[in-house]
Amino acid sequence: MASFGVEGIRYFSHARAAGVSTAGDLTYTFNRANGIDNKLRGAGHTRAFYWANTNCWETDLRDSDKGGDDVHYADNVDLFWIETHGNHEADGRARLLYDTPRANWRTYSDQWQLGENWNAEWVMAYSCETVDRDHVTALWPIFARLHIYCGAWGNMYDGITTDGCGEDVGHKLVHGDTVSHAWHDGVSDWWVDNHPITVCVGDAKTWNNGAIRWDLSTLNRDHFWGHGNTEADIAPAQQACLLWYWTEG
Amino acid sequence: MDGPSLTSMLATCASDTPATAAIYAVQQFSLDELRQRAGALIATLASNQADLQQSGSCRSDHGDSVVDDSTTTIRLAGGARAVLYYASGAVEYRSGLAPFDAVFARAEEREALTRLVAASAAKIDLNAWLGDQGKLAFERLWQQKARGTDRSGKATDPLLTRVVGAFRHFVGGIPVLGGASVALRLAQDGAIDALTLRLRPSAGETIDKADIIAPELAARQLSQQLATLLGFGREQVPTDVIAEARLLFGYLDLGKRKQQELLAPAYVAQITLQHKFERQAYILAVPATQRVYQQLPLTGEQGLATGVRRCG
Repeated sequence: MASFGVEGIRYFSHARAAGVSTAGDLTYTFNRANGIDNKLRGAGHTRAFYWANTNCWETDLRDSDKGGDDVHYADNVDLFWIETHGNHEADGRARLLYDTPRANWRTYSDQWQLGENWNAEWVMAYSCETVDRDHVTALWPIFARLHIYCGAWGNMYDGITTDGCGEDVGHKLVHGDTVSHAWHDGVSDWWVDNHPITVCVGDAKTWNNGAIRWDLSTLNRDHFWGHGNTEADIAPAQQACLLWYWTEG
Repeated sequence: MDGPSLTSMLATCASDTPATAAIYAVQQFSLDELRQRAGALIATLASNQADLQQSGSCRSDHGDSVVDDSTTTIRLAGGARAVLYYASGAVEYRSGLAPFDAVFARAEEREALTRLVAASAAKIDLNAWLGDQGKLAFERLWQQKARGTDRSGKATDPLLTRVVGAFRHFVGGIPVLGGASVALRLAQDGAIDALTLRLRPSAGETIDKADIIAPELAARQLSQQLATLLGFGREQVPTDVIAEARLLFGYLDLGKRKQQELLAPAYVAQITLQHKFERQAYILAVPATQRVYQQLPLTGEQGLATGVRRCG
């Protein structure tokens, strides 16, 4: 079975007080976080950690080689779910906001390197705008054997019609959907303008000189451990392409 | 701009709100009835989808069920499944298609795709699901696409994989707001890849007829909710961070995992914010009547977090 970790930040009062951000508090962070936690644990998977608010630190996602501690957190679980405010830099690097500076208020995706010698297969970030569709390749370095990054290329709503997104994603993961479909389907209520996107790497056979063999892609084939086929890791030396799949309204 | 401007921005969006609206009882179903309805839906899909019928993926005669406290998941042939939510009666059908099975041969014009989802939806008889005074109208087309690039940065053209038609349920001419009432996801040639029904059929019993509060009053309440979330307390929200704001009036579906006995009117705001560094988006709601007929879950849960703060 799989292991997973959950981090959710609902309150941003410390970040506001420090003048780091004017972003508001959220309301349904823990409806979603509790939802995926319940579904995965209910299917027999193991929760490795669940941190909330100021117990969520940017070092949990930052690579150990870059001074972080991902070896014990994001890169020590099969699936890492995080909810906080997000955005991206002009060059496409994702960034996420924390409510405590341990050690920094924000994390940047050029500091992430997931799956290398450790464990991470999937990262799910319920946060706005962490993928820039014009600069998706900025995320390429995070794929050190990571399978799929599940994020957003626009806004992700906090509200009473999206409070069940975590439970929806979890339900679909443990009932045989691909990870990619589980993310897109689970966070979409087909009313508000959520913008899910899933990003993976592929090998030369999948890239096929630009005539992409989508049927071979991780986006098409990867399921959560124990609920269907899970593809082998693709090491950096084998990576020939970056593939992404998005929902637009 | 300051707070009143947000209030007026919101209020002007709902200028055609009725003065009164009926409060309807929602049809309630036993578990057996819910299962029968789900079975009938699967049979309808099978009879209307020649492709699926041939592959057997809509057959339910050999399905097995996984039951938990809140859902029954019926596993069908070919990797398909249907999920029934007890609290709301919502039903989801998912084919066994992988994300890149049966993708569209080429990008299509939006109008053509809209016609495709409308035509597919018309083949599924949902009248029995709409309840008294219920109607269904097309609301929005969504598309799912994919592309890739190699190390040189050469990107492929977008590949259209799926389209989703979202439909809205109206009762007595008033929309039932919330997640799409019906969402129909199609693969190549209009094959049904997924169908979600989140319908709260009116039982035909009018519980009350209520006066609707003015949009300005609702807008003030919603602005105050936003100010609290942004840490402004009773101060007004600086509207230079507001990227978009709109206010909708209608009945409110509380979601497929929540039981609901009434359809009661509400104002719902969709607000997106552009801060200097972060972006965010809210859905905020208030009852549209002085008397509260239906409690709205406005507070959110607290975390099940493991709790103890770690040492440095």
